[in-house]
Amino acid sequence: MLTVEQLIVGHDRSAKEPESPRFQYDLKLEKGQWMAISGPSGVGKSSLLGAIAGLVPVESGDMFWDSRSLNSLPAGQRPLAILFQQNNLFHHLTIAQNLALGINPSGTLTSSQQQRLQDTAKRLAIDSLLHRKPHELSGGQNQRAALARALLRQAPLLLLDEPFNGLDKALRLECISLLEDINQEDGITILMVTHHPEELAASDIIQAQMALGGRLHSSY
Amino acid sequence: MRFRLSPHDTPKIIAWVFILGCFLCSIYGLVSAASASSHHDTSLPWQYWGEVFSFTLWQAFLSTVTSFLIGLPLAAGLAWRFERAKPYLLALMQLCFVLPPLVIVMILIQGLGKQGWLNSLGLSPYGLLGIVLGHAFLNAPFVARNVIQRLESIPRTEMQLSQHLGMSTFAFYKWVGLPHLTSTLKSTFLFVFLLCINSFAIVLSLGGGPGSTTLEVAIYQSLKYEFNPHQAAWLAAVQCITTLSIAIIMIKSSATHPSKPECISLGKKTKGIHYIALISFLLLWCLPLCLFITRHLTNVISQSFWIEPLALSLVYGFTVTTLSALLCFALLSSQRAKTASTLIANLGIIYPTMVLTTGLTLLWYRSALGQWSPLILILAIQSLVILPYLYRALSDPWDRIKHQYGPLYAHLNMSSGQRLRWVYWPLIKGPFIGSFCVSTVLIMGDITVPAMLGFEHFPTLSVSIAKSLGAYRFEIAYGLAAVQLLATLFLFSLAEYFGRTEYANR
Repeated sequence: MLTVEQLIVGHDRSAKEPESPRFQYDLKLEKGQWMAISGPSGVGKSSLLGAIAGLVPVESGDMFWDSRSLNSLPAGQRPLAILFQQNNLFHHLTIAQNLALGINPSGTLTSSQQQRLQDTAKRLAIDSLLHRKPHELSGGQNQRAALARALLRQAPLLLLDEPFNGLDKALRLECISLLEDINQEDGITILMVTHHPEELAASDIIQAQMALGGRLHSSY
Repeated sequence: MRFRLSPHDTPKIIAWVFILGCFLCSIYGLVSAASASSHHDTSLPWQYWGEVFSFTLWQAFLSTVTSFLIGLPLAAGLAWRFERAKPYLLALMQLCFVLPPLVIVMILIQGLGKQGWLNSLGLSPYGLLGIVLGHAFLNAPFVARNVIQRLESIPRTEMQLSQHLGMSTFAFYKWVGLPHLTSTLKSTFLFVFLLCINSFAIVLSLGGGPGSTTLEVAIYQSLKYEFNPHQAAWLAAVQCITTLSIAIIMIKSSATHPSKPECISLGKKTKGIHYIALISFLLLWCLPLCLFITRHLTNVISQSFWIEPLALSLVYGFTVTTLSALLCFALLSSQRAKTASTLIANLGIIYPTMVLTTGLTLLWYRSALGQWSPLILILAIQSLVILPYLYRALSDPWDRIKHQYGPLYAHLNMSSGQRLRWVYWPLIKGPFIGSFCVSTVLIMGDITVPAMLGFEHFPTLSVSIAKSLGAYRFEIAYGLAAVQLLATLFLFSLAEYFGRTEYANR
């Protein structure tokens, strides 16, 4: 279970505005659940995902995965995978290299890891594209590759920050149905930010609205 | 601001201490020499100083104006035209800017001297005229290049609008071109002016006599010929204040250049006047260089006197650039106190090389280290001199990589070594190898530092040319200059080749 307790994310020092807002978050998400957060821009949706992933500094409060505090863990060791809005793949590396770095940051794989990479690529229908570089692929193929890398990390929690934003509706729906499989077959917990909550058809998705300051109003 | 030290900051702090230490030692060396009572007459010769000071500014002003008078028409003639040849033209202009100053001196002497091709014009390559021509040869292509790049980055819509309104060329430059160019012109003018004030090799070899001595050369002469550290220290202080004030004006008025000009083609017709610009550039710059190489290289090739200086120059250039690159990466390694790091990396621009060298030399020979070979000192000074260039070339791509992939590699738990191997090195190796080659060219061409610390320690190509010139052995000087020109061309082509591969595989 993911628990976020009175988590305060301070203003970003690198931000241009002298007084960028502070956000406070409270959130509970059971294992295997899928929550979709929507809301106007600037209310702190991405900051929540960034804070959970350890990429945005936290001022106070804590968050837990299965009662284990995440605050003390460095970004790379948290039990989660994240897809950003952009720059999910290293553009100068091939898809195979990008996926391999998701399994082991040294880039060298054992033969069983190699097999797992092939299987996941096949599952997401990118197995024929492994030797290519991201710029040779379509937007949808790139997002599937990024999703494949997220799955290869074998993390129980998947954070998605509007990852399908640049895709057209048909491709977005295709990716969402992939996510549904992943959610149901692998039991992966999903926390996603989206601008198109209406496209999430499955009935068991928790739809949440975020208001200014980070407050969440959820409804089934 | 909170500033806690972490192990990640160690390389950066070592670099800070080294760089600041060198500059502070230099200031200390100058101050102690200036305040020490010497056996020399401590009353300062104001009239001589006045002459030196006004000549420094006058020659710099004339050189800058000449560079602009040649560079601007060249830019106007070449902008938006010759699209296919443009990358090569811009590269050639960049090459002229990094040419070893002594090679330019040799070409001028060759062209205007007693047996020169243009001797019939009755112009002497020595004195003010030679100095101004030498500076213009270096800087006019640089001016043209900056102006062309700024002009070609004018938004496409504005260009189309001016065409739609049927503006004449004059009206276009008045209403569209000039407003875009103002800040570029201002900062380029000040930068070229600064370079001409700090120019050493050209003034030393073509001027240097009474009435054509600049502050730089006067410092050198006080130390080397008059053995008067007291006067050298005071001259260095004047030089430092002069360049510092210009640097401050320059920083205040500095333009934010668009990083990548979008080369636009508007289907403009290429008229005769544009060919005149192209041909005069080729005739005035490329032809002399080619003639010089073909004429003197054949004399050199059968002999071996050039091999040792060439090898030494390359080893020297590589060593200094490696040292400087280490400093540069140490400064870039952590994000903290970035502004301070940028300022420290750029101290070499604000604080003149000659002044830095004078201060450290004075200190070196007063200390117990004085009996050792000043090789380490030369390497340290040169690495600081080249650091602003390397830092400028590498900090942009470095920051871009960090911005683009920082969250991703943090999320993937990559260690520093893995980040370097998979992310930084593949993306930065193009600009790195490119700037490495150019910086080697610049170091090979410099004689300021070796001249101050003694030529005998350092028979590189430039130093050997200077020595042969001093001994009136022109044939050897010509031959060495041709070899240096060829080495410069080679390294510069490498730089262009690798510099272009940045993000090429995207």
